[in-house]
Amino acid sequence: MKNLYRQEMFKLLKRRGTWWGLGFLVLQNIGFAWLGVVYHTHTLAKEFWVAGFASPAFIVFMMIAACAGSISSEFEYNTMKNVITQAYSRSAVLVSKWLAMLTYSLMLYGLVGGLTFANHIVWPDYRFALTATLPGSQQALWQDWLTATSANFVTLWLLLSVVFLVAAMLKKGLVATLCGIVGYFALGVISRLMFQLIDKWEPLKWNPINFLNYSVQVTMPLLTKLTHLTNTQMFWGNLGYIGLFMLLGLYFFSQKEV
Amino acid sequence: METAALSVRRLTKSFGRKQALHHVSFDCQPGHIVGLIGANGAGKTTIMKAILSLIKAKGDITINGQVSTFRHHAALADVGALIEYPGIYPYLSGRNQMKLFATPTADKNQRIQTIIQELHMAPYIDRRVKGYSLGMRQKMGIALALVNNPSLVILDEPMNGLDPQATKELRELIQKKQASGTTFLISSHILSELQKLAEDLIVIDHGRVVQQTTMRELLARNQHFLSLTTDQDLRAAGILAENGYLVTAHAPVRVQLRSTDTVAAVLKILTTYGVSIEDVQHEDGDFEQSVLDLIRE
Ligand SMILES: Nc1ncnc2c1ncn2[C@@H]1O[C@H](COP(=O)(O)OP(=O)(O)OP(=O)(O)O)[C@@H](O)[C@H]1O
Ligand SMILES: [Mg+2]
Repeated sequence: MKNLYRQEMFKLLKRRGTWWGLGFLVLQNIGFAWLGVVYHTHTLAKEFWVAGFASPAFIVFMMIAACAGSISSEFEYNTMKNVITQAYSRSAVLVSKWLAMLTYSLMLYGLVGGLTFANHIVWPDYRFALTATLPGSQQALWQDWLTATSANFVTLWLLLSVVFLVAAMLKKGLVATLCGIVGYFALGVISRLMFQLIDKWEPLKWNPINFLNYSVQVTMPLLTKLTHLTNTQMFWGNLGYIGLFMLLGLYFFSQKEV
Repeated sequence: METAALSVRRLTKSFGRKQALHHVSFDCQPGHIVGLIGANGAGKTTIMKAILSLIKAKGDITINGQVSTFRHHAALADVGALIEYPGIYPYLSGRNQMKLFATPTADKNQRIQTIIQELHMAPYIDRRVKGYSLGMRQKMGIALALVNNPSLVILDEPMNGLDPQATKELRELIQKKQASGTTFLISSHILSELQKLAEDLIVIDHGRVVQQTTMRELLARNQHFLSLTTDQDLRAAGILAENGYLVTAHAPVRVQLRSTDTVAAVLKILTTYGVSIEDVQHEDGDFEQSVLDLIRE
């Protein structure tokens, strides 16, 4: 298992895309911070900082592509049989891929977190006290940032667990990527309809798409009126669905003939 | 008896309604090179995939005495394989590709270096695999199968895409590994190639083992002929026929040598009758033909 994880990390770190992704995030984060300065909207600077200069949204796309690719590329390159014909079971192979992707997502979040704090130090516009509070918030700015970022991370993995599931079922990276991206945008498109339906029929609030609202709800407490779920329910629901989708992925993958 | 390096029992596999393997059973004895022969679609690759837990199949697989199944295949730690065409990460260099799959022990880099030299891959090993030719990729696949010095190596058509020089080098490498105790299961279409390598043969047809034999036995089945040019061919043919030889042609005289017949005896009879012999040629029947005969039987 340790060896499988080592192999997955080796592949990840030798891929150019991995480093392009990191480089892109650096430029994106600093670039957005600069845009915020240029279009000088001082009132929004704090919100912008709390939101990590929108980097988490870009991380979502990068991670969806990376997770879908980590399975589908093995079929594309015909390397899955090299991976499988080692001493380890298929489940161990999939788990090692999850762990490598978890590591990658933590790397990206760490990078973005570092940059976000660096922006705070470098740009005069963002040099506000991190202990200040936003209107309507009971906690300090840095705590806002931490809450938002953690919730983002959790919902990211809800999406990724679906991407892994689809990639393990279909071997097709493009389909898995599309599922993730559609899932990401579906929220914006169908949420109004979904909220109306939830109002009419309460149990519908437990559907997984509703749980994607978690990351927004932690920064906009009013949203709980629409989702009918508390932040705590959201958190555990996310973890529950992640576990469920991953178990399903494990089941399909362990049946896979190569 | 020694435990077999590989033992396959009643292996049965269907793809949908089509049954690809029917109760395939055979053993590979430790240190032997075993050839798997069969026509296109006979089931060679399917057998190998089932042994390697790549596909689900009914039946029992035992590797070095350890049971191996689709779900639990720890026994594959001591197996190296190349199935169909090599799986390759285009963005890695050949060397990194091997680092990836080499078990991380102290002598890892040494093992990699050795196999690079044995397969003469040094000139391009640090280039990205993306730019490799067909034969280079094939060597890469073989190197991956051998890099951990496994005790059992399974190669599906290993000579695919290799030039005559590389084929010869690979043959010698396989024989060298065999001398140090490695067991090989090799499938090939190129029968003459197997003829030079394999000691044991398993002949597969339509998903069944039709014959399990040794190369020596198969070669013995092979027909030998003696072709003679004499000053009086017709008479010579008559004399030989009268003395119980199987004469198959008259000009020149062609005699089939059975296991008890010797060249010396044939020549002696003719000289006794005063026939003078101008030329003698030994002809071997076709090895491929004898394999085809086996399949047809
Ligand atoms: N994935 C698959 N789906 C359906 N049928 C398959 C599959 N793989 C193999 N078969 C069938 O199983 C039979 C055996 O195929 P296999 O690939 O084992 O043959 P082979 O002996 O390796 O042939 P070749 O010499 O051409 O490589 C063939 O009839 C083939 O059509
Ligand atoms: Mg084949």
